[in-house]
Order: sequence, then structure tokens, then C-alpha cells
Amino acid sequence: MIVTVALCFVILLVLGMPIAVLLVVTTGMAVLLHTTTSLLALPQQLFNALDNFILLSIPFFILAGAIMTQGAMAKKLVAVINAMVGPVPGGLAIATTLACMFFAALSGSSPATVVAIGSIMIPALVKAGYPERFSIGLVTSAGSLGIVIPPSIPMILYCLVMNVSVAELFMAGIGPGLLIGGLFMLYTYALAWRNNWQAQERLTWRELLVTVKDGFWGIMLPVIVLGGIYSGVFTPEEAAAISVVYALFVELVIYREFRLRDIPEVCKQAAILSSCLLFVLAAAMTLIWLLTAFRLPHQIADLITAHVRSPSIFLLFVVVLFLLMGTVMDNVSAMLILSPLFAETLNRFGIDLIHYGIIMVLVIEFGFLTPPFGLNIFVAMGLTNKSLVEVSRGVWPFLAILLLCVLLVTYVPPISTYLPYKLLR
Amino acid sequence: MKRIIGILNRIEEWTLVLTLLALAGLTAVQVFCRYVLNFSFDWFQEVGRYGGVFIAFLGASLGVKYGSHFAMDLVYERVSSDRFRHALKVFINALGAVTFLVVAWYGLEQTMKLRQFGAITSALEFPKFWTCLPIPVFSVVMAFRFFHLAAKHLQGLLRNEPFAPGADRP
Repeated sequence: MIVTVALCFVILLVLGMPIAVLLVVTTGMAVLLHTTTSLLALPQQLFNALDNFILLSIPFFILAGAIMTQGAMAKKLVAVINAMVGPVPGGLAIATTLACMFFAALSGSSPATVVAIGSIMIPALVKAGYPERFSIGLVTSAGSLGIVIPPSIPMILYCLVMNVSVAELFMAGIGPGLLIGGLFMLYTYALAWRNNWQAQERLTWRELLVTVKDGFWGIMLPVIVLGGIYSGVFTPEEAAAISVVYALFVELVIYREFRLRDIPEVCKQAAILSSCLLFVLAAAMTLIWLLTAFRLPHQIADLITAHVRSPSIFLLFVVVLFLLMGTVMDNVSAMLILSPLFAETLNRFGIDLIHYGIIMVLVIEFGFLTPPFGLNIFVAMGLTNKSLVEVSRGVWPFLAILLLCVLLVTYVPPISTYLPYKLLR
Repeated sequence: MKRIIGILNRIEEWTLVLTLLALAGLTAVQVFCRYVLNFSFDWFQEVGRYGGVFIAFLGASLGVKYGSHFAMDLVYERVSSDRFRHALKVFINALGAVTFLVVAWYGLEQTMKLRQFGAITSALEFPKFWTCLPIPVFSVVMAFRFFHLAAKHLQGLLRNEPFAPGADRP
């Protein structure tokens, strides 16, 4: 059974079949060849996997992010943040990181963050005299915080396959997000100090007030969404719907750069993108259902616990495995398929699923910044017309910092688990 | 024929856009009603759940048309023979088409079963087979789109046309 599944999966993957389709083919083959179950189970399982209210939060968050990327929200936010930290050495670059972190708290996706902040900040940084390679690398890397700081699409997907609370995982992302963003800013500050990069002029109080007032609507969104979820006013999927309505209202009625006639196209793109994600999810859950029926998670747990004694070595193995997997398939799909298979092992080692989920998200973030599936790199290439090699060169110092953070978060669980334990349990 | 397909495509796209916006609006209204008017619709969860299934299948079928399903295309970058790349695409897309015809067939069987048993949803008391119907319907559409892509590459293979990366996207 395992041989059929593995062979079918690998061959079709290499031949370039869409992952969602190949998962259905693989499951179908295994059901036909190794069970007496009817293929009727296939549509049933696909349906069951999708029959979950929280799934809708994925298209909602993607749509809200797309609307804000097209509209003026990002620009206003950048102005506010720049007004605050501009006078520090390297201020504009530090403001870029902060803006990425803030936009990450508005949207749940990394590429969207790179587009929204990068299209404004890369030209601004270059114009202010920052090296081009550094500017591109900074935005591409800091944009990847989009999935670490809540809300986050990969986190929702993880919660669906692993049966974990979305609110808890969201909260666990705050610590690592601040850590990574903080180290990025520290690195930028050190560079600015060494290279004597210019600080910007300080704004007058009146100018500052006007900027903040202008950006107020954007600043309120994370307050509403995250505040709403954690005060129990609404569930994560309701928060997602509200952020769509709020973003539409602000962009259409207040900032007015986004037009009514832009809605269908943005909506179509967001819906198709999220459906493709949902379909991978449904197909992966169908395959997992079959593999679980064959007790594969238990077999894997037996195998691993027989050879590996300590949870920390297992976690190191997982991180290395995903970094390697990231070179042949995108890490989001890899997470959807592999995490449920490791569920029993995690249980036996006593590793918290929230902690493990954050490690997964960070590994996915790493994958966003490395070829061949580095979405952020491709987005940055599109924005700047630079080659893969040029963008990668700008990214690698940040990648080194990120790797350090992955290890820190893996071996110091409180970075991620402190907040949810303290506040939600 | 081409015009009919074009019209069907547009209907599909508008349905997707409107369903998504309607669900977002409905969810927001629901939260408003719960807190401000102290009143909540008990059928709402159900609409959201089945709406999700509908959107996922509809969008996934459109995703085939726009080539937005995630795949690994390393092999297409490494191999330089156009004929080989076309042949591979024919195989992949034909297999996809057959798979979704199978899914559609069993999806229909499942729908028919639900109809026969007269299963109804718990809150809306709506016949349950309707919620299952997107599976056979959009699987057939998806299969059709895969067949279309397979045919296109078969033509390319036979006429020895160059293989353009991203040619599947309109």
C-alpha cells in the first residue's frame, strides 16, 4: 500500500501534475488496489474535508488582503510608520520592516505583503540612497512575516488538518513574529550605523498628527480583527468576513482609490487562488484519511521512537526534512500531507501541537524565500524586474537570521507558547 | 460552440464572485445581528459550510482554466525537447480528466443515494443531495477542461509546435 502511494505520488509529482489532482489520483489508486472499499469514498471524503465552516476564512482573508493591496491602505500605513521611526539611522529601512509586520497583521499571506509594501518601499528606499540589493532583500524577507504574524492562511490550514484551535495558533505566532522582525531591524540598524546611512528629518507634531489621522482606518483593522477574536466577540471566520467588509468600506468610501469596478477582478483572482488551496487541502485530507485507516501514523511513530529517543532530535529531523522537501515541492502542501502523519509521533514525544504548528509556519516562511518554490522571490522579481540570482543575493543575509530564528523557536518553546498558555488556557 | 462556452465561463466566474461576496456580507450581517439585535439565524452555519464546498469546487474548476493549481514544473524547465514536453502534458491532463470523470461518476452516485434516502440538513431541513451536487457538476466541468488542455497539447505534439511555458494560461 505504502509503496503504491509513494510511487504514484513521486512519479506524478515529477511529471508536473497539479498537487491537488495527483493526491486524488494516488488515493483513488490505493483504494482500488488495496482495499475493498468502493470509490464512492472519494467524493464522500472530499466533501467531508470541505464541510467545515472555518474553511471560508481562507477566501475571506485572501480577498481582504487583495483589496488592501490594490487600495491605498498600505500607503497610508507606511506614511504613519515612517513618520514615527524615520529620524532613526536607517529609519526608512526600519520603517519598511515595521510596515511589513503591520501589514502582516492585516493580511494572512506573504506574497501579498511583499506586493503591498514592496511596490511602495523599494522605489522609496532606492531613491533615498539605500543599496538596491539590500532594499529588495529586506522587503522580500520582511514580507514573509505575513504568515507568521496573525492572521495567517497556512496557520488556518494547519489547524484544519491537525484539529487545533485557530485562536491559539494565531496567538502563538505573535512572539516569533516579533522576534524575527526585531532581529531584522537590529541587523538593519547595525548596517545603517556602519555605513552611515542617513536618518530622515523629523516631522512637526502637526504633520505627524495629520499622517496618523489619515492612517487611522488602516491601524484599526488589526485591532478589530485580533481584538475581536481574543475578546471572544467573534470567531476567526467571522473576523475574516468582517475584515473583507471593513476593507471594502474603507477603500471604497474613505480612501477612494479602489473603484467599484475593480471588485469583480480582485474577487475572482482571490476566489480562484483560495479554491486551489482548499482543493489541495481536501485532497490531502482524503489521502490522510486512507493512510490513517492503514494505521500509518502509528507505524511511523513506532519506527521513529525505536530509533530516536529525544524530542529535540526529532524536531531537528523534522526541520531538516522540511527544508529538504522545500526543494521539491511547496512547503504548504508538504505540511498538509506530512503533519498528520507525524501526529502520533508528536503525541508520544509530548510535543505541543501549537509549538509544532509554529515550527511548520516558520519552515514554510523559509521556503517562501528559497527557490524553486520561493513565492516571495518570484513576486519580488516581478516587482523589480531583477533576476532570481540578484533577488536571492539580497535575501540571503536575512535568510541566515531566519534560520537562527527557526532554531530558537524550535528549542525555546515559550517564544511561541507563552502567550497562548498564559492568556487562553 | 465557442460562444456558448464563453458565456458559460462568464456565468461561472460571476457566480463565484457573487457567492464569495454574499457569504462575506452575510457573515458580517450575522455578527451584527447577534450583538446589536440580539438575534441569530440558526441556519447560518449550514449556509456557510455548504457555501464553502460550493466555492471550493467551482473555483478549483476555474483554476484549471487559469492554470493556477500548484504543480512542480521543474521537468519542463530541464527537458528541452518540445515534443516530449507536449507528450507529457497530454498524459498529465488526460489522466486528470479521467480522474475527475471517475470522481464525478461516484459523486453522482452519492448524490442519488442521498436523494433516494431523502436525507435533509439539520437546520434548514433542505434536501441534502443539493449540497452534494457541486461535486459531480464541477468535476465534469473540470474533466472537460483537462480534456481541452490535453487536446491542445496533442495538437501541438502532432503539428510539432514549440512548447511555450505558461501556454495553458489564457
